[in-house]
Amino acid sequence: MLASLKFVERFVTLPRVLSEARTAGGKAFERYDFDLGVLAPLLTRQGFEVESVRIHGEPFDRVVVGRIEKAEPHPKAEKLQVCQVNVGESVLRQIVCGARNARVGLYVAAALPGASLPGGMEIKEAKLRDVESRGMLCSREELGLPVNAETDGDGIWELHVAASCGLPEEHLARLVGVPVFDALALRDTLLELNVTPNRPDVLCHEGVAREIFVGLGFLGLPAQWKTPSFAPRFSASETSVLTDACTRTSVEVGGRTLQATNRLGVSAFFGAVEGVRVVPSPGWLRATLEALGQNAINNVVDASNYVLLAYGQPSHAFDVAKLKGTLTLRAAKEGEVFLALDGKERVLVDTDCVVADDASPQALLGVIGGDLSKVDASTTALVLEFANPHPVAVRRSSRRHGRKTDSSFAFEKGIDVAARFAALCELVGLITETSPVAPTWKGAFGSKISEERDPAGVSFVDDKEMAKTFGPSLGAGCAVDPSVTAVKDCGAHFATAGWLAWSEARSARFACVWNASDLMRVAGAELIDFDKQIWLLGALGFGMQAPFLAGAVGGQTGAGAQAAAQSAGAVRVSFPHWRWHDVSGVADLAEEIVRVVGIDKVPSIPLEGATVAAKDDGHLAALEALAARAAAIGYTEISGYHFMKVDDLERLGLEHVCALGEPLALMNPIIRDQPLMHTTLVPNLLRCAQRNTSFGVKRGLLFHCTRTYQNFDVEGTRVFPSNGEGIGLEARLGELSAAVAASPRGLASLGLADYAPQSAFPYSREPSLALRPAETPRLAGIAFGPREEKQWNNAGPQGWTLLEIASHALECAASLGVTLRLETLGSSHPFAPALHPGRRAAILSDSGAPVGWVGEFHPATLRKFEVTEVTFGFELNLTNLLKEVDLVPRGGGASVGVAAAHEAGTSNVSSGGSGSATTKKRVVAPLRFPAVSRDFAFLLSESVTAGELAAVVKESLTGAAASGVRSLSQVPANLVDIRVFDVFRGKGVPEGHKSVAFNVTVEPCERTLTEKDINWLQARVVESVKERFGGDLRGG
Amino acid sequence: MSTYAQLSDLERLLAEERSQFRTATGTSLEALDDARVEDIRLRFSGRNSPLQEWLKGLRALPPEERKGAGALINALKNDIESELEVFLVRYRAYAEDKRLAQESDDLTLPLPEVRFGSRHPVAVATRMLVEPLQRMGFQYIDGPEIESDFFNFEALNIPADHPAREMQDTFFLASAKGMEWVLRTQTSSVQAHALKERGVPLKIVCAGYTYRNEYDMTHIPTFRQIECLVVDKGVNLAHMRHTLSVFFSEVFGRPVKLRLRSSYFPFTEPSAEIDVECQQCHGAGCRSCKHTGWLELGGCGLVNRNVLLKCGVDPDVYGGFAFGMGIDRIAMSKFAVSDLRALYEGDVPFLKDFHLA
Repeated sequence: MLASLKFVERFVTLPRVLSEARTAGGKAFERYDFDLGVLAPLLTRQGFEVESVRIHGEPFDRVVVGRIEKAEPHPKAEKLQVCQVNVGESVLRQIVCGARNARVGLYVAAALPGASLPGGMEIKEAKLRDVESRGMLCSREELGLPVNAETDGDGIWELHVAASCGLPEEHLARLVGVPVFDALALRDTLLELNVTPNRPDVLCHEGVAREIFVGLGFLGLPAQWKTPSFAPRFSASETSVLTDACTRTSVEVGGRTLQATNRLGVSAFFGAVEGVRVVPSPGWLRATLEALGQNAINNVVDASNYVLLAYGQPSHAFDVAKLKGTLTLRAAKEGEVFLALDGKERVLVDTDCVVADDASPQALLGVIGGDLSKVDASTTALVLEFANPHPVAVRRSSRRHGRKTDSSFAFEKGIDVAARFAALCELVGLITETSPVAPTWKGAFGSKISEERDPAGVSFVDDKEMAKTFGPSLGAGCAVDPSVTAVKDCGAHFATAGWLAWSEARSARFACVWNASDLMRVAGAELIDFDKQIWLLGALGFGMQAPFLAGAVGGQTGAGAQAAAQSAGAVRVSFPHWRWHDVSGVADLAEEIVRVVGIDKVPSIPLEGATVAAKDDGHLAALEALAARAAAIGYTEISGYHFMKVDDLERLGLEHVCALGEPLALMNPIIRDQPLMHTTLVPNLLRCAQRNTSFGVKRGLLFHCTRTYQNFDVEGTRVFPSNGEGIGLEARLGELSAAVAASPRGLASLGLADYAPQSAFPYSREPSLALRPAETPRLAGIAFGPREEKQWNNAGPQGWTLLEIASHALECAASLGVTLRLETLGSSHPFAPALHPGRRAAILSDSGAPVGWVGEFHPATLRKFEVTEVTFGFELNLTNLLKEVDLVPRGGGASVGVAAAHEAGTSNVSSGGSGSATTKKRVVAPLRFPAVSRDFAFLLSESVTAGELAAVVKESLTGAAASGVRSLSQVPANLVDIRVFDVFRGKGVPEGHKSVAFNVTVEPCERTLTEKDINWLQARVVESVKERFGGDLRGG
Repeated sequence: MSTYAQLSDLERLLAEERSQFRTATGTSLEALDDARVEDIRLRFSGRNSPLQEWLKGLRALPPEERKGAGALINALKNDIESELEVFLVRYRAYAEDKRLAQESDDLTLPLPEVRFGSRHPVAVATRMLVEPLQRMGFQYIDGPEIESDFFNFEALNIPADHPAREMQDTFFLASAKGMEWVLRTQTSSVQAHALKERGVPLKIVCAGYTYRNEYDMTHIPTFRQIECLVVDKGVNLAHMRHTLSVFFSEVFGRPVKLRLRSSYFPFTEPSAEIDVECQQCHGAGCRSCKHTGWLELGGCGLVNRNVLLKCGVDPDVYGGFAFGMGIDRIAMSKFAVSDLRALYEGDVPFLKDFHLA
């Protein structure tokens, strides 16, 4: 809201301070500006942040009133005149001027050297064609003011012309040398206020004035409320307008009968005026509009704009002579062309609402009027439209046609419908005030509700919902208010009359009882005395009654009521009609008082009761532990927007967009090519790798820990049947999603596979998670480029290997105390096609549940993502991982026993975030005897894996291959480790064979081992490997 | 090798040997190397040294002279061995010093990096905000990001077509069964879940991703918020103010000035903006606070009774307050990041700079 304080001053006296005192033009010059030191903090405190302040006229301090005393032709230039100008100095100032209207005796705006004009022009003393010029005589345009050719001509600004905001010459004579904006009283302070959407009543100057009035009063500063009304100039009263509007359906105006039909069901009425003289507005009105950045047009249009700026009441004036037949409020026809006041032709759609005559639309309802019926100098008869269109209809039309007007803005935010009739009185009063001849009022009339209703404007929500939300601004709302049905039945004038009854019913309902103790309850302190509270509410326009006093039947009003209320400690407060939008009860009244007093004045009181340090919900601690571990082992955490492209999965090499479950589609994506919520974290990570490598960062480890989403609930039911609508993906996603479900490789058939929706996390504790889209937390990491670059302390770059990256993934899980294992990743896994076929593995829990995968990305995948370096990656399904530590119930998916899981979660995990739930790994005891370690090397067939070899060695020593057994069968020692440290093929090793070297470490538990013990150990290993694999010992 | 036939010869030889030893070990250490030192050791104390030979030669002397001669040889042998020990220690120390002196490293070579990763700055900021709240008794909870119209709007007192829905540009998903589904536009939806599903009294903090349809220098579509809710009997604005000042003082590590400014949010009434004294200029006015001396950090207010009603809590018995703020902005100001989008590009050197926090 751009507020002009001069405008506000029409409603309330404002404090001013002396801002400048100097001598100008030989006379003392004092300037009093509005006291922003008081006003700005006041508005900000009361909830209307002052975002910026601008002084209208400030840059023109060196543009002063001057009088041309002498004007002679320029000796060398035909079009120039050499003027001697009195600007209040001891000598006349010579200024060369090119304007034809420069003449002796004219009062002008003279820019002196040092002045800087809009457009960056700096005024300096200069020679124009050899003649010295010590300043410039300015036109309105050169001072950044709008020019109206009719009143202003095309030369310099003639300061005595009233319609150009000028003053009579006798006044100007005393103002020579004074800055022009001060002399003509055009100087103004403009505040850009941030008005919250609950306060549309402050989107007009009366509303701003009311807030200031209360604020000043509260501070104990003098403030006087003024009523700058033009309504007294109007012959009819508000009541008679209202009665007319409710009872009449037509009016005689401009020599014919004018009627209005209403097919929209919005409330609307009209006023008719004859004998109007359309002329330029008087200077004060023009200046008021121009200060706010608007152009003055003529007295009728300007009056309508004034009423909007002053009271927030939009209206539109049509020239009766230019209308054909009946006025109709209707939906536009698809493709209908409308020529608007701004001269642009717009093609309408059938959800636009218009006011049309029999020929064509004459206004886009609530947004902008039409060019064909506009008011101009030839107009003599007017019809003034006051309709209350639906806010959403106005907003949509305004956006659709790219035209935001003050009127559309007011309707969108919500207007005060109870003041519509008063607004018409103001409007006609102001037109009367500004017309050379008083026009004739021909009466008001309502719009006749048609049996046919156009759906436009009410197609968004049903009538009932709209009426509840917007009440009176929608005529159709009457239908749901029982008190209004009678009015509806009485027929023709439904829209207006129904609205009237509605508003009366409302005013009775909009009241509550305010107690002396109420503020204490809200603010924890009384803040101000009860009588001051009542004063404050009264000043904001709230009505007071003291209903609980003995003998005060029917309630007292005014000062009596206030006194009575004070002694009773309670008062019945009725809400002013301009606050029906937002005030509904005691809490709102408390807010009003807290707001004006300043919420910052609320004291600070600790909450009662002991504070017990609280902890994370179990899974949050676990996620924190996982991320901390990933960072600790070298991965850098990234963050993303959680969107993906339609072809991202295909780019990975996967079958199609639904290969990892059907993604959720946004109806209004902001990044055009990323309309889907991601189902895997990998594409974003690969893009980060691409960005890094293309910027010259050739190696790195990245991880991302966040959720992925699917259009399936946790039970595997598809949630949104029309997923993809609005962006043209509906058919494709539906089809592919069904194909996945039907195929034998489908995600659902994989049961608890890592990408099945059944492994969603139960983020909500609702009793049923049915039809809630799956959200699955995942941890993904990638390693791009070499592990080591060539450096001064190594022999050259070294690449990562699959097992190193796998150990990273497993190490992350170890932060929760979970041991995971690797298995071959079959080609049926949905992610398999993105990975190197020989360098990939499935990651499983001990119990065999799928947790994720790890692998080297397929070169084709990397090419598609333009990653130039070898890259490995892994992705873990954290729900399945959390099941291992009982943070999510195992089996049956998240939908079973949600609450039980949450209980388990909160009790199992410590607040430290270490994720130490159900630790499975035994703590290793410190060594008491020296450990014994022996190396062996065998020549083995290629087919023997390291895992098989280790199992055989283990069994030979402990007598069992089971994972838990550690004690050696014959010797008092525990097996610590069997570790393969070298695999060699080549010279000296026959084809189809390899030399495998490994180390066995045992830890004595009773005594130091003897030579005999060690011999036994060596013999067992050698014998068993020989026996089982026929391996030859090569050394050891 | 010279030998002796009588005691006087031996005495001469011994004197000569002593002087040769003194000469050999008395020379400057610089002139020696490991090989020459070994030669000296062997020459004077090795198995074939003259002293060993002379000991063997004792048999050649008359028996009455043998004992005296043996004592003479042994005396010299002991002297040589102890002096040689000293000499060797001296030489080894000298040799080690000489070697170390040649081994100095170039300090200006690139430092090999310790391969830690890093946490994301916004994750770090989240933790920084959550921890003091936990100490103050707020349970850290989580909630869904995909929300129905009910939890994101309706339960928060934002009915359909309410002007407040204009305040936030919402991402819509397709609708199901007459319900609109959206990406949550604020973490306040978790308030509604907690009120409905956990019951009162309640003291919770929630942090997480929220989504709005805007994208420019200072707005990203996916960002993080943190939000707190207290619901209990007799809770009022003064309690909220106290909680806020304790919280911000903990976050900034010292008492900070706080200012509340009336504002509007549909889910609270009264509502206020929370301003904290600018931590760069301490209220004097600087660029980062746009010369106001204050930083706008978040919003707060008493829970609107309609929210309690919608969530099945009796607003005549229970009341509460809530406050929340955007974490990305706090991270930006804490880590002096000027473009919000830089946090989301995954640039390794940039992100690594935030360390393990």
